[in-house]
Amino acid sequence: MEQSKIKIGLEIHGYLTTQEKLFCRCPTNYKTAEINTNICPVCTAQPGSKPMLPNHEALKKVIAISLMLGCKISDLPLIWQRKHYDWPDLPKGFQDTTSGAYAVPVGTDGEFLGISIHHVHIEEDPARWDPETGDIDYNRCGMPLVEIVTNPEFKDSKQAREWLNHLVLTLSYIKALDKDAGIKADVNVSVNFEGRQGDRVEVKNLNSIASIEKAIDYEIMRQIEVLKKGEKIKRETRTFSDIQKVTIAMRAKEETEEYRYIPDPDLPLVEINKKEVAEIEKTIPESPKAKINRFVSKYGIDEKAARVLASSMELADFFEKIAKKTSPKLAAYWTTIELLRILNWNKKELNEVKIEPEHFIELLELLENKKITEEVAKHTLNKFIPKSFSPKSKLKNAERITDKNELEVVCLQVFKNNEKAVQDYKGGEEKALHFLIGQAMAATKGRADIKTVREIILKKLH
Amino acid sequence: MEIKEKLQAIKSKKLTAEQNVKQFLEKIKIEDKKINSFIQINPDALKEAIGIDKKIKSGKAGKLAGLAIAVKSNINVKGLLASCASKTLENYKATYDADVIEKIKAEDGIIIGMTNMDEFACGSSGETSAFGPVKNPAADIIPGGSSSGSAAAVSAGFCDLALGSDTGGSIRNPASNCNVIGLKPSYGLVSRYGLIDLAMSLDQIGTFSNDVHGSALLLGIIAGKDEKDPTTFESKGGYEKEIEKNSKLKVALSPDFEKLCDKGIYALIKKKTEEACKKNGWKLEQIDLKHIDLAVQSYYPINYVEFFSGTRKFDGRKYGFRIEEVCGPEVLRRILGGSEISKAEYHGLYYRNALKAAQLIKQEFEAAFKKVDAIVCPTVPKIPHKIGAKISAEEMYSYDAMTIPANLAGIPAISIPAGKINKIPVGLQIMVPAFNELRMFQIARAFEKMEK
Repeated sequence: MEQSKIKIGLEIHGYLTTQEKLFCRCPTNYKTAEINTNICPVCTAQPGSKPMLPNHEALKKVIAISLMLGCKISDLPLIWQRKHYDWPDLPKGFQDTTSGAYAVPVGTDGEFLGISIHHVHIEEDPARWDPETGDIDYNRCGMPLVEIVTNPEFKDSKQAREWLNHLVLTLSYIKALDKDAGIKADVNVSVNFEGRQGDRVEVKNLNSIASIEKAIDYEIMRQIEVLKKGEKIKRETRTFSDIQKVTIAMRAKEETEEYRYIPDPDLPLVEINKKEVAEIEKTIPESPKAKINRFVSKYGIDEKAARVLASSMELADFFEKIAKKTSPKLAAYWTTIELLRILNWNKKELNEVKIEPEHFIELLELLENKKITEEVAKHTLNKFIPKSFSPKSKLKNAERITDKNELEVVCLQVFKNNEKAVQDYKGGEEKALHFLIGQAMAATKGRADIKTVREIILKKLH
Repeated sequence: MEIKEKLQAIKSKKLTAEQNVKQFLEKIKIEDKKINSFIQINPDALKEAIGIDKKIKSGKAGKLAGLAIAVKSNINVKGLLASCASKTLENYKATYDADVIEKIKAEDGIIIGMTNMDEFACGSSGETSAFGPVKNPAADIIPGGSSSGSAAAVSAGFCDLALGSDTGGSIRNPASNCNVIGLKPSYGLVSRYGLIDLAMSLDQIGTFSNDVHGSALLLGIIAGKDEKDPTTFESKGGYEKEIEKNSKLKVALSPDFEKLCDKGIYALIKKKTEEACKKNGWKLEQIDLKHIDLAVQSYYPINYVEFFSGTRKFDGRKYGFRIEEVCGPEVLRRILGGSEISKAEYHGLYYRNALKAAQLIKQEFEAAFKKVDAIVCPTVPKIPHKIGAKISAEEMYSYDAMTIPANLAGIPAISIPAGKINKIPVGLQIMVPAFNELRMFQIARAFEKMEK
């Protein structure tokens, strides 16, 4: 195989989950609102309007994200900067951002799953512009965004994809990112092929993890082909066509955009309160990776189950509550297999239904103490949606019957009703035994202890 | 009639709001053809006055009830033109009220109309409006700018009070030329929400009046914190109640201002200040302000870059016309200049260094105000030219040499009439520490009493 060294860096944009926009009080439900209804003089840049103080909730979420990614939080005050460009989606003619020349980002020098994070900053989203019709929807204009910039340390698209999936999961833990809004990213790719170093190429505006992966693959292939021919890769910006799955040149380095960054005179410096950072730090949950390791070592469950549990913070928390009161392995099985089964069947998330851990614990205790059968437990769990109940109180008549005398009565009745089967069994037909056991189970609505029933039948018919 | 007397007359029903507005409208109709101080008259002004008369009768009227207030065309008054005297926004009707307008309306002031001005407030002469120059009702010279229409309207008796905006002297300069009172508050005292930007870090809305009481009253109403302008601070207002008070003050002149001035003008201001000190028992001091000769040079890079940034929204896509395609030469000069010097290749050489120089001047004033209570100087350093006379951009910019320092320092400053030289009005400027507007009014009132 040919010698090639690849460096890939990502700039990831995500929507922060806030109620209001970044510089005005307009609501952020742009997905469900009628177009151009979440607007005011500020976010449509009417002459004379000024930004309000930046949404503090948004800043807190960016601090939380930075902490989750192991970043150092800035000691210096944040400087809001105007990044000027002339485009239909930008009503002010500039975007307010905490990036760019002279910027102080919220978080710097982090690391997440082996990739170092250059910095994390906050900025506002432009409006949505449809180049086909020329229509502009300002509902999205001024929404708070986080941008996460990695160092160029990815080696291939698969690594980038897996890392991104993990990133999205991790940030959903702290409810800082709107998962449904997805992520957008710019990707930097540079290739060294047999000692020939290509310059850095940026691919802009990738709207999903799938297109990020495809764009990286295409760029690596394209750049190697160019270098193979002995030609040079120049620094440039390209765009990705989702339809053709190729990247297309946008502009060369000589035409680098001139953003004319200036500190926004309308916005004061934003001091980051150290006490508040400490408060936020306390709320930062364990990362999924740490959680998986802990679940495996602390509860002795297998890694596969731990991964399933860590895929959702709600599920993991739920598991831990159960595992503390019952056998962890039983808890792992019943949460990762049975609980997810009924959630998937009902197309619900755990936080959308009301399942009390106490009720779940009760159910597993009943099962563990052989008070109910697995059949009954599953059946009961099915009824836990939309709302759980105390299985003990509802299952007073559903407890497992282990009393020999009681079961003898049941069995004798079964013999009486199924004389042919009794004869068959006595005649040597093994199948008839299963039939009779089944009849006894049915007669007790599944409550009979199957082992005892079997023993009684064998004893009585010998 | 002074504002205080007029409010009394309205309150005692000797004068109705309707009569007040009507007489102004009639006067404007006849005389403003020559002066050109208004771009648009509020078509509902009379109707609003009649409504306010009803409120007065029921005893529920506000502090400005019945007064007619003219507004500079770069301040948004819902439904009226916020044209900035430009082609770009010539048909732009404001979609909302500026914070100052909300406050005036809440106190039952009547917006009589939108005044002419230098295009986008870029000018010191009143000549760059797309709607033609404003004539000075007080003398045969330029009215000054950029709030030329508001100054002229107060001077000509077309309204009771007026609002302007002041970035480097745009209120005080025309006030001086038109022989009226004009003031720029501390940066952050009055909300800029609804003021169309010239240079955001320096712009302030301020007032014009014919007497100190009028300005004190209006400023008290428009001042105060506004969540829609995060650079604002709390204010108690109510200055007009305490303007008669006098205390022992140290009032200073500065040789560094003297250096920048015509001899005759400076001599007049010096004489007036000495008289006032004598009469009021103030101590007259001299104070050094070594860096104020940097003021004009530092001011223009800030002005150019912020103006460039603020005008990017005038791209012709949402409203009006693309600014570069229709603007006058001074506006274009500033946009192109701001666009050039904010380029990344200069690494902030101009804008950021200018901000540093401004900081230096601010610190110099802070140090000076540890020694003295107020600094007095002329408002305009030289005798202004006649309309149409050709002068260079540098000469034009130097009109603001005395006023720009207060903007860079963020301190309040007021210009009051101090007499005339060859029939040309000369303004006296009083500067005090930031958020000490009351002291500024008290000193201005003491000077005013000397004249009357």
